Amino acid sequence: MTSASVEHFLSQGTAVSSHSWLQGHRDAANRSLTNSGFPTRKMEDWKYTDVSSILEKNYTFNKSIPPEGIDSILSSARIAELECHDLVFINGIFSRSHSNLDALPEDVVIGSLSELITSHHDRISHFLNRENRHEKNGFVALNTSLIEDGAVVIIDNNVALDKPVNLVFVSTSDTDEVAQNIRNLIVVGTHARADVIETYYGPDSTNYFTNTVTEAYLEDGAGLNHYKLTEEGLDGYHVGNFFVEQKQNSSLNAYQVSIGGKLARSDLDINLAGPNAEATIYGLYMGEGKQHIDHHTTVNHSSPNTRSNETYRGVLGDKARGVFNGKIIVAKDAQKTEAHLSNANLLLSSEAEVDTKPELEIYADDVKCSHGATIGRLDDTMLFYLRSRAIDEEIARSLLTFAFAEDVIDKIHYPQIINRLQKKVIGKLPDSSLIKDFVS
Amino acid sequence: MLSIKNLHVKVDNKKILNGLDLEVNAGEVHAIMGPNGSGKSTLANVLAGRDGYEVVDGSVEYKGKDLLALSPEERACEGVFLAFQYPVEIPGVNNVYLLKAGINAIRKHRGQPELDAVEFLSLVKEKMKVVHMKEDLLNRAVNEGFSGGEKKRNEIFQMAVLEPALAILDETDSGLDIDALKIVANGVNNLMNEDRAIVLVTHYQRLLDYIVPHRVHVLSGGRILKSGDKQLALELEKRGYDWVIEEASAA
Ligand SMILES: Nc1ncnc2c1ncn2[C@@H]1O[C@H](COP(=O)(O)OP(=O)(O)OP(=O)(O)O)[C@@H](O)[C@H]1O
Ligand SMILES: [Mg+2]
Repeated sequence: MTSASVEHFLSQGTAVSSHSWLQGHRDAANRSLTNSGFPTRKMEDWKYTDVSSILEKNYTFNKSIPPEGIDSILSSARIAELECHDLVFINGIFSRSHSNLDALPEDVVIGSLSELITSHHDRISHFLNRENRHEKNGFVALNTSLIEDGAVVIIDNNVALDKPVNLVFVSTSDTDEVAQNIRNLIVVGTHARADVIETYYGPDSTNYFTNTVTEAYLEDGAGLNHYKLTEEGLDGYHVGNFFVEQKQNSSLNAYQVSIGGKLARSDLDINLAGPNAEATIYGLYMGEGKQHIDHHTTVNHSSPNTRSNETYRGVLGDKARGVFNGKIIVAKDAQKTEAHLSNANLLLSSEAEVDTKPELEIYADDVKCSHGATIGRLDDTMLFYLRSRAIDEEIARSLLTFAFAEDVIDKIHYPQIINRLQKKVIGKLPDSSLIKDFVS
Repeated sequence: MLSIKNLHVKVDNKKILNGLDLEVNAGEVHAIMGPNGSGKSTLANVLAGRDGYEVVDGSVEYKGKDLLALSPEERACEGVFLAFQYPVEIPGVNNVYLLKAGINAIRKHRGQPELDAVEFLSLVKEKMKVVHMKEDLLNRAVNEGFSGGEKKRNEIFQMAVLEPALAILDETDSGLDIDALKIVANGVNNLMNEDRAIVLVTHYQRLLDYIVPHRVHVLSGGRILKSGDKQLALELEKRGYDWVIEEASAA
């Protein structure tokens, strides 16, 4: 089945790669997309998210843009006062002049895929698109078929990275219908540690599309703190897939924040593949206007003694729509697994909507698992209490909404990220200037 | 200061207050006593402006204004304060910031300049001493994880900082140990002057040993059945409410 949109999107690929292994992945992905097409609402995982508005556009991928106005966009996209190594991608293309990789320690490889693919061919080819990631869905297939650039972060064994790596992906164009295809690879060696931030940012008034895939591999005893901040512009579309493979004793803290995009879909697939591997996941999504924000997570406990703890909160106002689907799979041999999942949603208007579904598939018998989902509105007794203390009704609503979101935000380790998110969250609420006081 | 006339109130279509009359003048302390479920908290909530209470008849005048026409925050700005029977826990909202925002909203309403951080802090320090409030409670989320007694004390602390003209204390004395009871009484007596009034809802005469009321009222079946001076409280303590109810139905 080859539809016009599949043909158009696949035609965005560049010349055949001189790396035959990479071309092999591209070709396989190309075939897979040609055969299976893009997801439709008939598929269980895409039941609530209609991607046809992405597919009907004639996006041009990875178009270089003259750097006018880019400095102001980048200064909003960067995290203020955060000391970090940073890699900047503009419309999917690495920009060395805007990046800062001057102070890289030894024993790490950090840079762009397009530049490192030759010098670090062995390690990159060992990991990239392992286990045929492109078979997951049409967007991952498209991403693989178009692989061109993205970030590479490889930390050698026993090395603790000194500063976080901030990957900044901005879209910018005077015209509509540009798209970026981004493929990132993170490898954290045995007993190594790293913090990686991905920020997706774009202007509010252009229609653009981000299709991003990140693969992370954690070796024995490795530690990764990963932040994904989806702050696309309000006319931007975002589809992201994050795959994590964890060996024994490794630990992941993942923070997934979605506050931008007309339609933003984020998938997180974690495989706890070695005994004692553990993953802690915090998510926050906020939608207003007609935003559509969708999070799908799968945590696969494929080894014994693995632990996962997942907490997502959603705030939806106006006519916004939220989707949360969290799946926990415990394999037959994965005894002594502990897995907890919770999702709480706050609806701020009668027209806002959320569909939430936590799922457990348990094939082992000696496990501790729990899951729960709630959908609610602001608590009347709390509102009345605040108002009886002379707090204006709108401010009281904003305060309680902020407090709900803050419960996830305050789990983040970097005060600079906390500040940024607090400002963004408050900025979305009425009377934002007044509730700032409560936060400092 | 407060004039309630023939107040009829429904909650969830159920009639709770049935023609309640009450006059409170500035400079007075009134105690309201009455059996469980008689409508005391309903009255307190209606005065503070809680949603869900339908006033089907009657009027409430406060300082010459129609109190029922005001939103809860406007009432607070005008000097009405309710100490809740069950103070609400509000995770994520800081206790002391709530107070700062509250007092500055009230000051703004009165045309006074807002307090800056230093002025506010010295006010808070002063009032903490009055109610023996522990410092670590200040910077916690509002009432979150507070013990029952600490919650009640926090209500009195808020009252002391906000300095309302009309304070309604809904069973603030319930669940307090004897020392805390004295502290609450101390907070109330500290606040009182000839421009202010206090309505105390209580089940126990013992609070009235420390705060001497000008009037004591018996509320039952949604009406004030009997009013008297503090002797009435002593009599109720001895004899219960039945005789008041019988007396009223005989009349
Ligand atoms: N939302 C509601 N729906 C139905 N009935 C209600 C509601 N709220 C209060 N009531 C009823 O109204 C009556 C009066 O309640 P209220 O809380 O005012 O009593 P109270 O005098 O304060 O009692 P207590 O001494 O136990 O605190 C009770 O019978 C109560 O069950
Ligand atoms: Mg009561």
